[in-house]
Amino acid sequence: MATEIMMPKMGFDMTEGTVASWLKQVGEAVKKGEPVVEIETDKTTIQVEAETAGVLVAITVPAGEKVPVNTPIGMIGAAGESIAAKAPAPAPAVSAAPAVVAAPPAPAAVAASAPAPVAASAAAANAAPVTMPKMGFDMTEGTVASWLKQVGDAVKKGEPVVEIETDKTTIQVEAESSGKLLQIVVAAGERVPVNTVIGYIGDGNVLAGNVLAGNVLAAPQPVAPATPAVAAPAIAPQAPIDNSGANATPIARRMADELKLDLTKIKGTGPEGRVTKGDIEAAVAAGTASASVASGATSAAAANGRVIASPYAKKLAAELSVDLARTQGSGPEGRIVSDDVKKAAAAGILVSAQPSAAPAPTVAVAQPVAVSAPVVAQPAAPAPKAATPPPAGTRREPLSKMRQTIASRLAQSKGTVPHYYVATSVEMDAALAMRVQINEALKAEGVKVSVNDLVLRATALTIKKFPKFNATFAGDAIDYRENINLGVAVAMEGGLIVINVRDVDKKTLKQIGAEVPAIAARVREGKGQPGDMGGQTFTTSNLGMYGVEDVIPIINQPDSGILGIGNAIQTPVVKDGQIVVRSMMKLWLAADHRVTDGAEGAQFVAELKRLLENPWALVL
Amino acid sequence: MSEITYAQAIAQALREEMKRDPNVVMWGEDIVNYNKGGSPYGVYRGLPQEFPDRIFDTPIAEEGIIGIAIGAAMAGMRPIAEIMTVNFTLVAWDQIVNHAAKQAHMFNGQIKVPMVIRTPNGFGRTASTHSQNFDAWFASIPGIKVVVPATPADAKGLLKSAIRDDDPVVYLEHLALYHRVKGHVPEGEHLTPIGVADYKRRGKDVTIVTWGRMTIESLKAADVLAKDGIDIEIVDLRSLRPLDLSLALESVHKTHRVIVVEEGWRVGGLGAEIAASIQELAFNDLDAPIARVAGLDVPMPYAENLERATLPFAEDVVAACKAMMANQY
Repeated sequence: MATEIMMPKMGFDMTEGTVASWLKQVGEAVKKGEPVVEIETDKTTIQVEAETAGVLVAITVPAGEKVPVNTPIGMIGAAGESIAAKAPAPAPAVSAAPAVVAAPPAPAAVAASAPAPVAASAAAANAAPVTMPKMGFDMTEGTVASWLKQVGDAVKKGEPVVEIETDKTTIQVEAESSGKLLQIVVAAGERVPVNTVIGYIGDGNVLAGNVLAGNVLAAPQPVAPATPAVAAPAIAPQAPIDNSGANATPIARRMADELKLDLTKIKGTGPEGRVTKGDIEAAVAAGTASASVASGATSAAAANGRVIASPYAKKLAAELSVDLARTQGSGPEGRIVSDDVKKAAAAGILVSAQPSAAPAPTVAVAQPVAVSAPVVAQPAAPAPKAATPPPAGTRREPLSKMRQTIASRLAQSKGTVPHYYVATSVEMDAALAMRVQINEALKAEGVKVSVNDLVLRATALTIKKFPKFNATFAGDAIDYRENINLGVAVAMEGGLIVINVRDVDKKTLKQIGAEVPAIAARVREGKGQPGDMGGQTFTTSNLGMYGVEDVIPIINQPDSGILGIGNAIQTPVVKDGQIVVRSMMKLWLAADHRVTDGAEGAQFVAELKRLLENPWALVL
Repeated sequence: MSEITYAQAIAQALREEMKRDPNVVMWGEDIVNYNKGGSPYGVYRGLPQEFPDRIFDTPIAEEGIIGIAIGAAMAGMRPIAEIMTVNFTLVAWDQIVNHAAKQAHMFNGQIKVPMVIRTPNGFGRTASTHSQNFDAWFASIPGIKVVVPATPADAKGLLKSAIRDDDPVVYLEHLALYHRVKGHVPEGEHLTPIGVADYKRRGKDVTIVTWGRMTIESLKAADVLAKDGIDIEIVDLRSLRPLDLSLALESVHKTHRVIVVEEGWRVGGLGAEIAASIQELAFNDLDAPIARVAGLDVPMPYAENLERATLPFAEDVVAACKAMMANQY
């Protein structure tokens, strides 16, 4: 078993520390009690000793980086141990890919890859719910006639915020507290039971997941946790969970049990690594929302993903196999009570009958891009378990961690992000000729520029002109990323990973040509460095090497766009009235319609085409 | 079997026990000679004349009344110390808490204090210093037993059991029940065991856990609620120490909703203890937070309308049950 080396907490007020230097190299033997790493705090420098004997199998935080206390910074295991197989992964990417050193706990890396800190859970803590009022003894449900405030509007206590229509009358509901309208949960025109939460007022950040054009979103969009210390845990357990021995606060343990989270996979930020409520909320922030969104029901899942139900309702739900996550709550703040469970049981809302969390990707032309940053690559919480035995004549193979991650992340993207597609055909003859010349010139240096490198460079320059394709949809805002980091999908056995090439717009073709294969090799061999995976702002997926023409990809969240790159194929084309043979390459852009529109996508691919067809622009 | 009042039931118990056991004696203020005798409230008319050498008037000295009773009990008597209102026990708490409650414990059971402290507890139109409810305080003292009868049958049965008990028993009566509550009392020897709760009404929707006067108010509330289709179950604890929660828990397993109803102050009231215990022992059976109906957290006002406003009555129980059934809590 591998043992993590954590950033120690030395002194009451220490919140973070710097790895001054590693005293051992990866692969070197370590004795118990032997110093392995030197840590620098604001006050002092100390050597941290190994708690077990073994081999230093991984360094997750290199020297010079500053991380919060209790962050895993390295790992000691048995000689030759494969961390991918055994490590209590600090991040799913570690277990998902053979690449070991994937977790970038450094705040900088997180900031680059995570959406703006819209931390739903944190905001929800300051948010007071607006509920469907009970007006009269016999009122059981009401309709939201209209919202009198927009999300983000300031609201004063006592000011009308929403108009409610009952069978008998229409009244205006006043705010019970001052603040901002943070979220509209139930859109105008929707009818819900009394006491259902219809919106939130508070002084925090506007919550993601607002209602758009009459759609009811039960919960905020998944938002990556703003706390960098919380590395994304592997959430979907395969075996029955026993959290009884875990180091966690009582409420964290209860939440974990409710959400079926394996506490040993969640990194605690409390004293001595204790898992706290905040850690759980951060861990579920991305995962649980998608299920309720896909189900389309206003469930009792609170803004932070927690299902609120009375103890007896939970007991009854367990007895009747009712799925609480999809059960409508009629109690205060949407709390599920036993009557709701009985109704759900009658309606067949059962755990075993749970549909898959989101529609499966239907675009069959290409295997799209999947795994990426540990910060965003959180498998959706309880991955629907195969409830029925496999049909006769079928061999069933459990999903690997990587496949679980791919399944949940792409289902979530395809199911929640409105994709649009634009494609273009690029005449690559000039670019191919230039590439031959460049590679001739670089021969002595042993560097080769690939067609894909040309496309990467062209993409980076195009993104510079169209920053919306370097952005993230953040609920009621668009977050533009400053760096242009391009993800490159790399196929590997059992799935694929996305490696990250940073600041492509600032690099020459020669640098790109050297860097891409180096990163890919490092990651494949499990020797990746922080930043090699995760942190991409736009992703590319090239399947041209298989002779494929059209690659229609699925967006790799939190990106707003992805480029599918096909093979450059000799094709008869009409030029100036003549049929000539040209090497034509198809490029498909898939983009998030919430961030950009088709006209922008069209200009994006037109600019790409222009650059590749006039390739000297790529070296100027 | 005819109906008798709560006061008449107390008188029956006293008369029967004094006849049965010559060691039963009584001390109290104005219980023999005041007005027509038989307690200031006329609870046991004629009894002092029946037992002139065993029922005594005392000076206004509650510490002395309790102290005499403790001594007599230690010497083998079965004394009953009557305190005119529970408010006057305050000056005698050292005797109750540090002497009556502790003797058996401190002397390894070699000394017993088989005495009864009878006193009307709760409101009585007598303002801040004379209209209080201390049941939760008594219930928190290890070493004594505390009983709070609600009905004539329990008033008689619990008093007889209290007199025969070898520990000091605080027997809390209520002015509002003496002459207003009537009920059947079993003929012949009737003993109600101490530390055993009782269902006063069976129902399926909400469990009311209560005692004393609030049992009577809850029964009134049940009739009102029944018209609205809400069927409440009433558990009358009868004894507050030892506290028997077995029926309350049994009922919670059926209704999944609990309201604790008490007359005394909500803060630090026995309802808090009961709610805490129920959630410990039946957490998974609760479908709603345990609610409390209790007295307001204020000194008792003298004005009748204000006094009424601070006290819980049947309508408060009705409102609490309706809110709970509507998931409004």
